[in-house]
Amino acid sequence: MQKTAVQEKAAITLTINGERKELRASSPRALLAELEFEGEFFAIAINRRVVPKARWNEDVLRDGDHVEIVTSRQGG
Amino acid sequence: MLELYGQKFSSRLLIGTARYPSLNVMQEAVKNSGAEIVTVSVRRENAGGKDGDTFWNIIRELNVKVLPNTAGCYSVEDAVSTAQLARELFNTQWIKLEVIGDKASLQPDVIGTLEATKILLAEGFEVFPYCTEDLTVAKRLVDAGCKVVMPWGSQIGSGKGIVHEDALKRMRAELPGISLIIDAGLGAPSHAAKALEMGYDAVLLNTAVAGSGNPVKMAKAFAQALEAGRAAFEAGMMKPREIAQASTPVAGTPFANAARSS
Repeated sequence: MQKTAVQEKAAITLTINGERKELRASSPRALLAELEFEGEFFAIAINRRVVPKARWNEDVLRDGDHVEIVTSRQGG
Repeated sequence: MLELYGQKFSSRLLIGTARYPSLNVMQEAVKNSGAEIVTVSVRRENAGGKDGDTFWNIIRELNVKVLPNTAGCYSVEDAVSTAQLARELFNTQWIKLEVIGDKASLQPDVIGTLEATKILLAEGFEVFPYCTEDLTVAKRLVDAGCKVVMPWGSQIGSGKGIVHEDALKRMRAELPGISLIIDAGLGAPSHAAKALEMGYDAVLLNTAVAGSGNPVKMAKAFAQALEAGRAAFEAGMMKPREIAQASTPVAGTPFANAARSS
């Protein structure tokens, strides 16, 4: 059902984790689907502003946005 | 008991999760260390979620408290943003704050650290700032509201132990109500014992265990050293003397003042 919405939208340029990409997703959740990310254990920031998981369906991605998608890794 | 922002722990070891030969060894080492707190990092997910889940599932199985770090941040802005992502990801107010000032020594930028600390405390974070042995900086961090301060023993990953012993002893004496953790630079269990003998509340280490010949065994060695160091601190150590003092009583020594046979 996200897919349909995604296909109707024109492509926008997003910088995902430092890499520019042409995408159609309009929300963080749609973005994860379009990037074929599995699971839920991510944190997402749009232009450095953290998007709480509860708002992944609602927040809107705009052309030129910088998105960080992070997860847990080994650390000291 | 170790107390960190109102939470109590029986282990005085905070252990890192990086640089182990395998995730399995990491898991076994953490278990064997008895640590109740592990440090983790926040990193970009580019593999579509497959790699991160494996690591995170192991951490969850360990049933430990997670202390996320801002490792690799060289600016206040990056450290604050990373902390905000960590809070969302791990659902914790805790953050090990690292604002690095020098790439070679990984010495903290203490001015940036203080600045980021103030921002994060105002946002409700419970900050564990990584700093140097500088007492003024430590006091400023405490004045800002930190209940925990984490001075380095020596450079991250160096294994040299406690290099600035006098300054760190002074810090302990000057900040009696604050939980002080030696973070970074420890190499041998004796270094960890020393930190606790000095009255430090805990140590945070990673490479000393992960980079040892047998991380699972070394984890236990650190746990034992910490137990010994803390017990010694609580018992109160003897004052060193400049000259010898016989431990065996002198009175009644056989042949004292007796004539020699030849």
